[in-house]
Amino acid sequence: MPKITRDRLARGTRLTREAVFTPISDAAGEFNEDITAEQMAKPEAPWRLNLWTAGLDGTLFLNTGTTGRRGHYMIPFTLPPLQQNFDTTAQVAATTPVVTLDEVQLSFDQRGEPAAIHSLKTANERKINFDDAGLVYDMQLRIMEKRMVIFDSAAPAVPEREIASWDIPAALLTAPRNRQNPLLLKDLGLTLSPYRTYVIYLRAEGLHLASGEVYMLPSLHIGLRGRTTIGLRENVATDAVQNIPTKHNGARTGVTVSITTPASGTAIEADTADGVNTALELVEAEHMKRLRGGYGEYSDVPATEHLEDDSAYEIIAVNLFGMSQQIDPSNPTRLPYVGATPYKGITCDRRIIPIKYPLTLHHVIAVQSYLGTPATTTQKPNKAAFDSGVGVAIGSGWRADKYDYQQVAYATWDETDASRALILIDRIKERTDGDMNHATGSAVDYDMAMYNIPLVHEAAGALGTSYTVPSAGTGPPIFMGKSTNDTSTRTNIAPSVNGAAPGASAVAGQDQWIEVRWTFGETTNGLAHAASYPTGTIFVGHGGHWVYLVCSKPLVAPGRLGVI
Amino acid sequence: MSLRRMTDEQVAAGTTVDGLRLEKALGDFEEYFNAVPVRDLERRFVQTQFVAGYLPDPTPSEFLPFSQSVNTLFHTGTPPEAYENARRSKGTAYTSETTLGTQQLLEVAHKIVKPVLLVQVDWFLVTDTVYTNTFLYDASPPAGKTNGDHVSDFGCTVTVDNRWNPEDRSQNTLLRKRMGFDGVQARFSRIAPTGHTDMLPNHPDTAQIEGLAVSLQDIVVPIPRDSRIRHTLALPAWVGGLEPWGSFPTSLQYYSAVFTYLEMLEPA
Repeated sequence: MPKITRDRLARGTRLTREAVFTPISDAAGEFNEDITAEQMAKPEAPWRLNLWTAGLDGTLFLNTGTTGRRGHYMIPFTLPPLQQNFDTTAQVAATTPVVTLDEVQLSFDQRGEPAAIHSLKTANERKINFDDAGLVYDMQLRIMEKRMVIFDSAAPAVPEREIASWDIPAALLTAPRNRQNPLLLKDLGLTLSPYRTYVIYLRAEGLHLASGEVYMLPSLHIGLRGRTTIGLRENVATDAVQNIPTKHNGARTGVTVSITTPASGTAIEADTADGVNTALELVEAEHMKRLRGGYGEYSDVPATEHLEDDSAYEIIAVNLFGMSQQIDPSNPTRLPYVGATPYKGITCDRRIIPIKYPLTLHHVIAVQSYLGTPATTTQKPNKAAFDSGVGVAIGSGWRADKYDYQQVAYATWDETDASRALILIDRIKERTDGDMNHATGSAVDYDMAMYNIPLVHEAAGALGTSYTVPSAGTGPPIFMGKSTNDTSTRTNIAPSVNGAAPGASAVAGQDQWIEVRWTFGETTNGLAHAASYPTGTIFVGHGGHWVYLVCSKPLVAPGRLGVI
Repeated sequence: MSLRRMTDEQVAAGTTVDGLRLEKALGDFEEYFNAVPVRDLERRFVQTQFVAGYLPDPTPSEFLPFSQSVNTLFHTGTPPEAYENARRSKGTAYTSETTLGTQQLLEVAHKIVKPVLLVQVDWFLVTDTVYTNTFLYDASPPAGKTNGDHVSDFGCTVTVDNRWNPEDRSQNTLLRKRMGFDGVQARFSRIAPTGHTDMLPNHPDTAQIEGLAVSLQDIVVPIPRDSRIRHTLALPAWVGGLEPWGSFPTSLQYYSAVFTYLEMLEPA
């Protein structure tokens, strides 16, 4: 739909002031923070899901299990709408942004040679082998789709539909010239549902050869890139955004451009004060000066703005405990902080994400992996004493003297079905009767679990909109951005999930980085307690766990225009 | 003044103001305003952050995903007639490397189809009581260093493969590098934090972040379309296990890496 329309000046029609000046006045009115995506030549912004893990080890593809079927490396993800567009019954409305997937890529560190890389924990770790490369790199990459349990309790754990699949012949990675590493598949144009789980399946059984030799894909990156239409940014009045600079509260002040329309019955002239050229110049001058919107690097907004839509969709993928191989009772020494046998300490992994330009956090989703090498004994831990926790916070104190954290999301659970169910939004299983994990130790048969990690909010306060899980709801969106003195004063933010009343941020608006942590451990009996954790118990699956930060990101600019 | 962007018609003083020309001008105006070109937006980019990093085995027993910078010495099976890349990284070599040890490289690669701007690179080497690295040479330092000097034999690079000879790493374009600086310059903080409250879940060892933050900040590096970008972290492994890096330099700290890009708006 065009935003500006007009009456045509067909030959012979009378030239009225309305026919000439109405469209110009309408255009000038649009400058009052009303320029929307639908009137932009390029209204869509890219998002990237960069899934990086330390490596994929060939032991995952051992030819074992009850049926002798090899496993798949799986990474589930979902792309939920931002809170203002989220529907708790999973109804896609006309206003729900369409998420389009355009590119998929795969890369790993091949050491710049057409060779295979020997896996870790082997005598030849890191060494390259040219003889086997042609056998190792025959791979298949698929993207599967499934309904989410949170929206449909009858949804199966096994993905129901394949939306894309690529066979990757080894020749692409072993050719002497122009190897496809990174391998990129583009122009896909696939529309993804915001209320479905998607699962990347990577089959690379050549990493474990029949000879027993095990290879690896070190520094594995699977990247997705897509587009969504830009939309309204959040503000305090309608979205109750936490931690946003009070200088502007996310609100906009429009640009006023006054067009002088000639009086009725007067001649239409060119360069007079009420001339048509004068009016057109006024509008064009705004374009020449460029239309303002978005955020600066230090969380400020332009004093006056033309744009109504200046916010885009972002998802940041964070891998934790990505130790390539599974962690089970045979190798808890791979985990730091658990101490000596019987390993009763709590272990922790964390990632640090520097804040460059502002982001507004809407959802935090965690994926717990129990992906084991297929075997009849694989199972999940099933003990109330086995605790896991995921937290996200804003940090300050990097090359600075105020070290502190402001919590933004947190959940903890123990390794029982009842506890997991409090935050569970989906379950994923490789295939029916698959052996990567079993129902043993759990009433439900699945290999990976997807959780909703709630944002901070006051127990008696307003909630945000997200998945309706049995545990406490989520909080309203949370702004995260660097500041100057002008933008360091922020709206209140709750100190915890379902806790005390909101107050000033613990980092006082001096947001420098986002920290993501995942902890787990068993302090009663320890991870080596065979009665609690028999052989085959998977503490961390191959490739590790994932945390997704679903955010909105503003239009920004590099250099001088993007600073303040 | 004249109209320069929205229409080619000029309706300034001295020209006629007639219906035909106004129809053309207003038509252009309407078309322009209903499809505002991206160049007219002051801010027309969005950021993308690529997050990597991992927690190495704290018992020093493995290197991967790090591996040697030199390919020729480390293979099994039949060696090739000639290695394509005897050295696989551009811009990371340091003095005396071949006699004293071989670098360990962590390389993160990805490809872009449309042009991007690289605006920040961060590599965090985090230490605590389990992952310990003083980042200081000890009593047996490498040549040219003395006991207590800050390490200066590590760093990061950003390269793009050559478009016409993409498998020859020596032909890569070195976009940015940060090598050969004293580690103390990259300390996460030089002030021991006091009185702060840890986030949840509490870190079981050291709540605050310690170690190094090797960053390339305040940069704007345009990278052309269809580029293969390689981010590399280079650590030394001195023969004889000279401290602080020792024989397993990759297990002395754990890692976070974030590469921040800007990408432009796109058509629907």
